[in-house]
Parts: sequence; C-alpha cells; structure tokens
Amino acid sequence: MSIQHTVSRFNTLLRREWMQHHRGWLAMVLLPPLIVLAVLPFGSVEIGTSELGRMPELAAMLAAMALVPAVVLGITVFSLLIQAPGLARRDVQDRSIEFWLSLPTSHSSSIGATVLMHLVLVPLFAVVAGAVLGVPIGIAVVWKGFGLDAALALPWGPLAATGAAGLARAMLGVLLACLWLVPLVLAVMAASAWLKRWGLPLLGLVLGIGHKALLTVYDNPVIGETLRDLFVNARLALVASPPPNRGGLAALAATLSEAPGWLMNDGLEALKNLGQPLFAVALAIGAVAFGLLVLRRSRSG
Amino acid sequence: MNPTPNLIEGRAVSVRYGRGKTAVDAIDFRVAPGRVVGLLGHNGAGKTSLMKALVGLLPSSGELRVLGLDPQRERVKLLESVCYIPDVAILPRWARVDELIALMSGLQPRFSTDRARTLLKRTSVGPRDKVKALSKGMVVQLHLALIAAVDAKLMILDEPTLGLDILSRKSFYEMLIDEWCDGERSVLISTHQVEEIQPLLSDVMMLNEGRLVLATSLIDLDQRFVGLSHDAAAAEQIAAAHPLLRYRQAGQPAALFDGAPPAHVEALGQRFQPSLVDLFVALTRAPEMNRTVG
Repeated sequence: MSIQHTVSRFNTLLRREWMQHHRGWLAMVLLPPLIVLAVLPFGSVEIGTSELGRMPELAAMLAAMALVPAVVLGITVFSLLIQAPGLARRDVQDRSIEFWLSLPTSHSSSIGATVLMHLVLVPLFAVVAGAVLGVPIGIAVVWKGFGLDAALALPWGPLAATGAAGLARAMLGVLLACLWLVPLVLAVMAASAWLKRWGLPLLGLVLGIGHKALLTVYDNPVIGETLRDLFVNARLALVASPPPNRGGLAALAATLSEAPGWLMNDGLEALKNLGQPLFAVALAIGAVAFGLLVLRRSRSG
Repeated sequence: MNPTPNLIEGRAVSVRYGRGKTAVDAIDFRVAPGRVVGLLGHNGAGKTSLMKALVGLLPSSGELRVLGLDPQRERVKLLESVCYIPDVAILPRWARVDELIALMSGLQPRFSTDRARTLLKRTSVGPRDKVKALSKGMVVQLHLALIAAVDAKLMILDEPTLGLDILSRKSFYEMLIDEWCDGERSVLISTHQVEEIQPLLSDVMMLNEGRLVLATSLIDLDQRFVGLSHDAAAAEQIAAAHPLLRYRQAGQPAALFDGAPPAHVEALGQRFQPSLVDLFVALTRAPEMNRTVG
C-alpha cells in the first residue's frame, strides 16, 4: 500500500472524527466567546485603570487576546479529558465496532486518528479559535471602556506581531503539553478499554497504592513525583519562564515590541525542556498504553 | 495452463476463543472463483467464528489463505478485496447516509460512490437520512448497498438479510446474483433461511459443533443424496436400511439416504430429491454422520 493511500485513509479517519463530534466541539469552542461578544454591547465594562498602568487600553486589549484563548482552551481540555475514558470504548458501546472492523484500516491508524484529533488537533483548534475571537472581544472591551477612538488608536502593528507570536507560542505549548500528558491520558483510555467502567478507578487505586507502598516500604516517592513532574512540565510547556519585565499586563503593554522576542525565547525554553529522561519515559509509557489500546481493538471483533 | 487458484483455501483450520473453547475444529475446505457458497449450521455451530477468521478478526490455527493472503497478518490488504457483513452489523447511528458513503469512499479503495447511490435509489433510504432515524430493515438495506458497491473478489455475508422483509430479501439476492456475481467473484453466505437461498447456491458447507459435516456442490449433492417417500407399512424395512433421517414429507413418511438405497428398499417407495433443509437436519442431527465431507 502506497504512502499516499495510507495518508488518504488516515485523513478519512480524521474526517470521521470530525463528522461524529464537530457539533460538540464547535459549541464548546465557539459558544463561550460568541456569548461574550453578543452580551458585551448590552453590558457595561468596568476597568480598574490603575491596575492597567499607563496604557490601560492596550493592556485591556492584550488581556482579551491572552485570556480568551486561555479560557477556551481550558474549557476544551477539561471536556476532552472527561470524555477521554469513554473514547476508548466508543465504537464498542454504540455497537458500530463490527462495521469499522470490516473496513480495510489498521487498528493503529484507527486509534491514532482518534487520539490525534481529540487530544491534539481539537485543543489546537480551540487555541486558534480563541485567539481569533479574542481580537473582536478585545476591541469591544476597549470600545466599551474607553471609546471607539481609543480602540482605533491602538498600536495595531505591534499588537498583530505580538498576537501572531503569542498564537504560535500557544500552539507549540499545546502540542508539547499534549506530549507531556500523553502517558496519563492514554493510560486512562487503555484502562477504560480493558476494564470498562472500573478502568479509571482501578488505575487511580493502583497508582495511589503503588505510590504509598513505595514511599512507606522503600522511602521512594517515584510514582508521585513522576505524576507531579508530568503536570509541572505540561504547565512549563505552555509558559516556560515568566516575562522578563515582571509587572503583568501593564509592564507588557509598556514593552510591547519586546513581546514577540520573549515569546520566541519562551518557546525555545519549552522545547529545551524536552531534553530530560522523564520525557523519554513519558513517551515510552504513552507507547505502551497505545499498544494496549490497539490490542484491545484487535480483539473487539 | 495453471488452474484458477481458489479464493479461499483452508487446511486443518481451527478457531478457538475464550478459555480453550473450540468454535471451529480442524476443517479442510476451499472456495473456488465464481461460486455462491452457503455456510449452514445451527446457532453456535461455528459459522460466525469461521467467517471472522476468514477476515482476520479472529486468530486461527492450521493453514488459511484468503485470496492468497494470511487473514491475520494481512487483514488490511485482504479487506480491500473482500466485502464482509458481520452478523451484528450495526452502522454508526450518528452518521448520515451521505457521510457513510464519503467515509466508505475514503477508506475502501474499491468502493464506487455512484454504484452505492444507484443501489440506494432502489430502497427507501435517502442520502440525508440519519442512521438512527432508519428502521432496522432500512439499516440492513443501507449496509447491503454500501457493501455491494465494493468491487471486491469475495463477499462474506453473515446473516446479511436478518431483519429484512421477504421482498427486500428477494431483491437483495437478485441484485447479488444478477449484478454482483460475474462468474469470477464468489460469495460465502451464512443464513438460517436455507430454503430461500437454496436456488442461489452453487455449493454448500455445513458446520456442526465446529466440524465440517458436508462440503460439496449442489450438483453433487443432488446425485449423492436420495429421498424415499413410502407407506407407513414399509417403515420397519426402510429403518432397517439405516437411512440418514426418517421424517414426514407432505404428510407421508419419508427417509433420506446417503447414496442410492438398496434396490429392494427403493422398490418400497417413491424416489424424490431431498431439499437442503432435510439434508441439513439429517447431517447436523446424526452424530454418526459427522465425517461425510464430500
């Protein structure tokens, strides 16, 4: 089978995910910012200008550009994590597994498409949609709080550069955070695929008891520390180091031209952070969990 | 000139599941091109397990080649040239008909979108219908149309018409024989509606508790098995000739023999061609007949 065929089939499997879930994803990603946009003209905006420094309009705009994608991403990731255990048994539960197994697709590409779409592409879509919708929301906030003239007078060139750099950094961050959390999410999916509804509690129990036992008997906190480090590194993937000029949005607004450079350096820091043994361990655990998912699917017929 | 290779070739094929349960027990069989083979057996006889093994969904032991491929190791490549409808065929309920056509078109390289649309026009299923809004019979019609639109070499159908009314069943079988089968493609079909598919079949395989009790062409079957209807008074003499099965046919006692009955026995009644159903009952009920592979 040619690579072209393989890619085409994988794209169709991704399309299947879109067909099945796009309504929920669109509602989850677009509805909150669209509601904010719809409500803004009728509400009032109160901004504590002292907190926003010498350029409150710019700081408010930056706040909207940063917060909207962050909130949308948060909602999306939260929903996807809740759905992840069920994903592993989705086709078995709706009894369509026999249909999918009758088609010429490999088990690994079927699961790979599901994992890629739900755990990587949808969070990326959330960040992009949040970043795009953050701009009109920011304009609406500035317009409402400081007037249309203030909105039109914003430094759009540096803002666009910062927005683009911020979006690129956020997308890289989401991708890297996914890689750091992949062993946990795939382990939950694999446990659910094999043990059904007992999968998640049993996995939690095994990790909890394992951590306690190792700590008590051998004074070894490896399980707890590994889990903590995975979350810490996922957070660092999104923001590796704080802005050089501490002082929040007001300071950032004052040094807007430096923001793209800082974002790029922060992205490089996040990439460098991958160079540690824990990342290899994370990928190895993820690969084992993926293998368990493939094995489970191959026995679903 | 080399003879045309068989589409399916199985030697000592066994399928096991669970903890050592044997679904199919060391059977030898083959399916040549251009054949319509009925796979018959009671519930639990091993039909579904055998079919799943043929498409690589269950592991098997022995030697099994389908279209020259190992079903387990080359499942994806095999399914490009094999259509398979499982016995619990459930299409995804969330999908619309045109979405399923788009997915089939992207996943199955031999699928013809035009052919699927043409076949669906003969049914009451519309392209914008959601699967969850269709009746069970309509879902089966949709699935059959999708599968029949694949330009495959072999079709494996496990109870394909379950849930269809008699008109839809007839229309599917007509389409299958008149349009899909082209003299080179073969169909392996399992069903409990034996009488209904008998006229379509060229060959029959009967499974009983995992063992192949009969595998032969219908022509050979007609020559090999003989039915004898007789008066009740001759029942004892008929029984003494050890028929495969004694039963009632159109209100009259009848007996079924493997091969021609002795001349003195044949003189006691009237010879007739036994139906596939009679044979099925005879071969899957009599334990001593568990090894009559033709």
